[in-house]
Amino acid sequence: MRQAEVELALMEFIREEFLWGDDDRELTESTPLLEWGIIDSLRTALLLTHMREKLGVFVSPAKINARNFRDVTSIAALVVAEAAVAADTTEREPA
Amino acid sequence: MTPQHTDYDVAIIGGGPAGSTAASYLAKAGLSVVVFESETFPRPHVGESLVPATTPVLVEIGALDKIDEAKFPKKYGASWTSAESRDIPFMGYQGLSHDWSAEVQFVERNQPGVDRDYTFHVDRGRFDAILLRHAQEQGATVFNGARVRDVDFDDPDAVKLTVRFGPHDTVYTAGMVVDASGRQTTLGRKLKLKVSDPVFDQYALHTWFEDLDREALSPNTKMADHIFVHFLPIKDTWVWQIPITDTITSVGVVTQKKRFTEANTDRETFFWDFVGSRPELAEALKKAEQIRPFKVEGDYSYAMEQICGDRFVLIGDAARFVDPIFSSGVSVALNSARIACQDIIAAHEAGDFTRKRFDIYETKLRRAVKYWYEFISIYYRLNVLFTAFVQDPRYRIDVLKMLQGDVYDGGEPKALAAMREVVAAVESDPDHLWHPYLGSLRAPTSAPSF
Repeated sequence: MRQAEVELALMEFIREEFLWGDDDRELTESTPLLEWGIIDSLRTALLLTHMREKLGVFVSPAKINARNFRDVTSIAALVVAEAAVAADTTEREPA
Repeated sequence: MTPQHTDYDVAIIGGGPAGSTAASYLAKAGLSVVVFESETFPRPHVGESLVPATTPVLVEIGALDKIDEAKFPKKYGASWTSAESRDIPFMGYQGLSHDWSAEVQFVERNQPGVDRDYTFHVDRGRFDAILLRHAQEQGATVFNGARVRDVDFDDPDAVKLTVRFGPHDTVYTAGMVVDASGRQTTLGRKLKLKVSDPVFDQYALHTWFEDLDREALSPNTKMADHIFVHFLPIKDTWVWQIPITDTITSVGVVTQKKRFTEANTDRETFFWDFVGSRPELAEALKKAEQIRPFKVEGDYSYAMEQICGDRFVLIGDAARFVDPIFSSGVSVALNSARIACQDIIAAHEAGDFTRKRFDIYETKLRRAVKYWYEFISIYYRLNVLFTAFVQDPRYRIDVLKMLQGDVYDGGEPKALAAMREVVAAVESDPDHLWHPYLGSLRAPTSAPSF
């Protein structure tokens, strides 16, 4: 899973769900999401659900902290890392 | 078989669901059983919502048809609502998101021994009376208005019970005694076994309302007959909403006892003050008519140092009570009666009612209650965060297993390990976005004693 793809998918979701479309394209990969109040602890739960359904990646609720959810880049990095861990675990499972 | 040198094989203190279920099991197995119930049924009682783990027991004692015929409201699941809104977004994007709410339906998980996707909400006056009459029909002797004043274990061959009928005392003898006296905890107090719980010093204030608009309070009208747990924006405080009939709804506030003491006011003011913290709930309740006076449950949570001993067993609330959050009361009553009676019947056959005969009961019940206790502790710690947990497909079915009350057989429920792990992560990380939402109740690090 590539970081850029995940970033795009996340931007699209956040624009549609939390920014009413964001017609002025104010959201960027480095917009401080929490600081600006674009996402809050409840919306992170919605984001987790979205990542699970659209990207097939399970992010543990234990990882919903301010560092991992600072901006789109850091969330995408988390998703990519979790996907890699999941793939690794799958490969190591006996056939 | 023991020679019949006592009036009865087994005497049961209390004719609530635990006592009547035990009486049915024992009478069906051919034992001579007497039930002493201090009140005259029907009488009102708190604990009106069941979980599906009651169903297999009602089937076994042959009472399910009678419960079906009583047409109690069917309970298909549970819902949680909250008005959590601490994170107010900047940039003018407000009111977009949902609140912390969740719902589950029993149909989502197949439960062994349960043939239906619902259980019931019950008027305990009627429900308890049906079960007690059923016990009588199985051959148990039932006395209403019979208050057990003393239990004497001095004679190794017979337990002596002093029972008050109106102004008179009568003495009965039995091979052993089952304490199903509920929150009265007759034997627990007499034998000084009772230990109050240091964490859950809870307090409940409850009543019935006529014509409450349950659909107005439900995000999904199809679920309006669920049990509702409304989180209040006051720490560790919630409201139950349980349908009793088409028009009557039971409503109770559960909080920590110290909040009531601190408020230093009357029940009515306290109830409306607390409910007022959820304006939409208060408004709906004010439009309805309160049809019973407020009733209080205090001295809430306790355990017993022993739940069995030579010639006695404690079952249901008489053995342990933690918290009403997951509607476990009647389920614990019925299942503890079921498990205890297996040991009692074997003890009777062996002619030996000493403590070691109740080992299996003790082990199974302690284990089940330990799971419940931890589940409840973590639930209160998670607070509104529990709703996110319920919505997560990885945990949902395991959590539902607990909500169905399916904790008596098998190892530790999987939901517990998962919930424990997430709580630990959130607790230890002040940067975690869920951190500010944690409830203030904390479970003791040691396992609860009985």
